[in-house]
Amino acid sequence: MVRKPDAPPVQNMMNSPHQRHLITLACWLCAGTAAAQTPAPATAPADDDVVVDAAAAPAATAAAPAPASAGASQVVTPSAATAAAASDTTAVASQAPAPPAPKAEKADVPPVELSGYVQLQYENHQDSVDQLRQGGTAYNQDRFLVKRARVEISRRYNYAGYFVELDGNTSSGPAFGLHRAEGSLFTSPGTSKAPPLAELTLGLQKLPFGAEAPESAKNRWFMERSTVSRAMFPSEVDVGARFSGGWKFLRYALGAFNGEPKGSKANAFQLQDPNANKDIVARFGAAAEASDSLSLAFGVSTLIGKGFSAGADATKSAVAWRDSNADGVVDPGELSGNPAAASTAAQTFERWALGADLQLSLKTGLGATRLFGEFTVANNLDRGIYVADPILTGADVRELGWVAGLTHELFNTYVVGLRYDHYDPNADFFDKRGGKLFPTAQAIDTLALLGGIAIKDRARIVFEYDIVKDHLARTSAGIPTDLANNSWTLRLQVLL
Amino acid sequence: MNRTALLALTCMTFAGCSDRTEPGMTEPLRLRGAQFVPGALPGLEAAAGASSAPSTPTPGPRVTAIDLRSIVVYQGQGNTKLAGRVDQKSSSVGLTIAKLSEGYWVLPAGYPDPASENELTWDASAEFDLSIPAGYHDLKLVAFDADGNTGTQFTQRFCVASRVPDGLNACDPSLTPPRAVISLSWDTNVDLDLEIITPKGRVVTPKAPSTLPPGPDGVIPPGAGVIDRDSNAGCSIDGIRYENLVFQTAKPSGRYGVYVDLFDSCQKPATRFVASVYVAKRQKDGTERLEKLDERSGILVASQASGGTGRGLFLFEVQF
Repeated sequence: MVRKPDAPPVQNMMNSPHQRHLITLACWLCAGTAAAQTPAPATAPADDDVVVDAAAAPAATAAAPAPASAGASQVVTPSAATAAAASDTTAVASQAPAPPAPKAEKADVPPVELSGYVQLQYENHQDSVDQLRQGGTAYNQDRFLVKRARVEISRRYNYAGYFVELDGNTSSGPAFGLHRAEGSLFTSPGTSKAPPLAELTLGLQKLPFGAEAPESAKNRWFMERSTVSRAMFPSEVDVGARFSGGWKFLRYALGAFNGEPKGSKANAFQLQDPNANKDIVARFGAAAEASDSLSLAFGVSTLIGKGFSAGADATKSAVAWRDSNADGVVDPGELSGNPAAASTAAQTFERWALGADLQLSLKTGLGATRLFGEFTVANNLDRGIYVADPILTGADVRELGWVAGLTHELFNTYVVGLRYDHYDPNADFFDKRGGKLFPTAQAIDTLALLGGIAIKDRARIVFEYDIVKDHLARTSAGIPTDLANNSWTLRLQVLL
Repeated sequence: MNRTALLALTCMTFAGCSDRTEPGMTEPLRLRGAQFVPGALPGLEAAAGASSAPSTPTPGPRVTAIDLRSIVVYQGQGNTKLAGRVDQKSSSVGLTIAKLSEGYWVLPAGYPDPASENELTWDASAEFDLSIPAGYHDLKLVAFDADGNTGTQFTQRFCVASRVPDGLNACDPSLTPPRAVISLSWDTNVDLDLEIITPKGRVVTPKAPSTLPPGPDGVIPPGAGVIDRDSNAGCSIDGIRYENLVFQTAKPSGRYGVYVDLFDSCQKPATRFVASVYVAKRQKDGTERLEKLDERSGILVASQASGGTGRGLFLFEVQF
C-alpha cells in the first residue's frame, strides 16, 4: 500500500466520529479484513447496474480528506483491532486526490448519487395481428414503447451503503415501481473493477448467476437478454441476501433468495415466497486485465432451490350442461352434477442450474471489441417462457441454453454486434402425431443483428433485427416448423 | 458507407414487415390448437353433392370419417366438437369451409381407433363465425401424409342456422318459418334489451316477454309473440347478443313500436345495434322464407344505460 506524501495525519482521521463508528462496525463484520483492501473512492458498488455518471464522479471522492470533528459524541473504546483498522482506513482515505469538499456537505459524508436513464423504442413483430387473444391480450406488438425509465439513487459510506432503483415502463400499460432496493455492509466501498473483499447485501437485488442476468440494461447493447436467460430469470431481481466480493482477480458471490423473481410466471407469488426453502445462487470467477488493451472475465454459476406447484382449491358442487347434440337446447341426459371436489395440496419440487460464462474485451486503434458467451444447463427452472412444473407433468423438465456474441464499438461512436442464442426448454419433449410419439425439439434459436450510434456517456440510438427460429407452427403434414415471428426494434437511450 | 447502412436497414425493415403470420382469427371456421395455412385446400376435388368420401380408394392418404354430432350449427356457435378418422398412412388432416375460407386448418392425427381397424383419430374444438350466411355449406377435409402429400378431398355438407329464429327454414325450406320476427342484435357484450309497444299499449321486454297476457292458467295464449331470450342479462355474459320477438303461428296486425334499452353497459363504453323486422313470404316454389321488411341501426353509449328505469330509445314503428 502506497501512501501519498500529502496524506493527512492519522490523527485527523481518527478524530472523525463517522470513521470511528464504522471501524467498530467493520470489526464486527469481518474482524479486521479491511486491512487487506485496495483503497478506493466511494463510488458505485460492484454491480454493473450502478454506474456513476461522469459528472458525479469527482464529487464522490469528496469523502477522502476528513477534517477533525470536534463535536463528536460517539465514544469508541480503543483496541488493537480497531487501532489497526483505523490506521488502514486512514491510508485508504489518503489514496484519493483531495479536491475541495462541497460546501453543503460534511466533508466525511459521501454525497447521495443520482443517476438514471430512459429507453424509448419502436418495435415491429412479424406475428402481430390486429386481434385479441382469448382473454383479452393483444396480438399486436407493433408499437412505440417506454421500455425502461429508471432512476437510481445510491450512497456509499465507507462501510455501508444503499441503492434504490425505480422503474417506469409501458410494456403492459403504464407502470411505475420498485426495481431494486439494496442495503449493504462492506469492508471498503470498492469500484466496479475492484470490488470490496467482502460485502453483505440484503434486499431486492440482482441474482448473481452468470454474466447476463447481473448486467445492467443500461450497459447492454442488445435490446434484451438472451432467451435462456429470460426463461430462467424473467427479471434480473429477487429478494434475498448476498455475500460477495473479490480479491485481486478473483470474484465470488453467494446468496440466498426467495426463489420467485420479479416477473415470474410460475405462480402468483413473484417477489414473495410460498415455500420456506430459499434458493441458493452462487457465482465464482475471475476478472483480470492481461494488459492495457486486453481483459478477461469468466465464472461458473450454480443455483439450487425448490419450486412450488400450487395445487388446487376445493370446489363446490355444481350442475353442468353439456350440449352433446349441439342443438342449443337442454335435452335429457345433457345435465350432469359435478360433486364438490377436495382441494389438491401444494407440493414443492427440486430445481437447479449450472452455468459458465466468459467475456473477452480487446481495445485496439479501431475501438473496443467484446466477445462473450454463456452456457446454462438446468432442471425445472424455466419461470418465464415454458414454465416448468414437474408435479403437473409428472416428469422433470431438462433445459439447456447457450449464447455467444460479439460487439465492436468503432471510435467510441459506432457500434455493430451480433448475438446467437439457443434455448431448448424441454430436452425430453415428444410430439404426438399419427398415434405415435416423436422426440421433437422445442428449441428457440435467435440471431440478433445490431447497429447503432452513441454519444459517449450521454445517449445512443440502436437498431436490432432478431431472426427467430422456433417450432411453434406446423406444416401441412402436421410437423412442427418455424413460426414467422422475426422482429426489429429501434431504441433511443438517454442517460440522466 | 452511410448509404449502404441505410439500404441494409431498409431491407431489414421490409423483411420484418412482409410475410406476416396469419393466425386465421377472421376465418369463418376457427379451430383451437390447429395451424392455419393461407391458400386453397390441397388435394383432388371430391365429386360435388352430398357428403362423400372418394368412391374408389386413391393411393394417397384418406379421410375416412367425420363426426359432426349435428349437421346443423348456429351462426356464432362455439366450442363445437369436430372429430373424425384418417387412414394409417396419414399424418395430419386439413379442414376448410368451401367458398368462404381463405385458407385451411391443419390438425395432427391422433391415436389409432381399435374399433375402426386402427384408423387414426383426430378431434378439435371449432367456432363458427357469426358472419357465415345461413344455409348449407361444404366442410372440406383432406389428409396429409408425413411428406405433405394429399389424397382426395372429403366433403361433408352441413347447415348453418340463422340466429334469427326461422324454425330451421334455411336448412329445410319445407319447414314453416315464423309469421314475423322483430330482431335486435348488437356487437358488444352489454346488457341490451329489445322493447316493443304493441298496438294495445302493452310493453314487451325480456322480463315481460309476451305480446298477450298469460291466461288464468299462466299459459301464454297461442298467437302471441314472445321474446326468445334475455341476452347478457345482468351482465352475465352469454355472448349471443341477439333478442328476437317471434310471432310463431299468427301474423301480427297493427302498428308496433320498436325500442332498444341499454339496461347496463357492463363497463363497455358503447355498443352498436341493428334492429330488423322479418315477415314470412311465399316463394315461387311454394315454400316460405323470412324476408327482411325494415332495418335500423344505431349506437348507444354507456351514459345512456337506464338500469331498467323508463322507456328505451325509440327506433321506429312497423305496420303489419
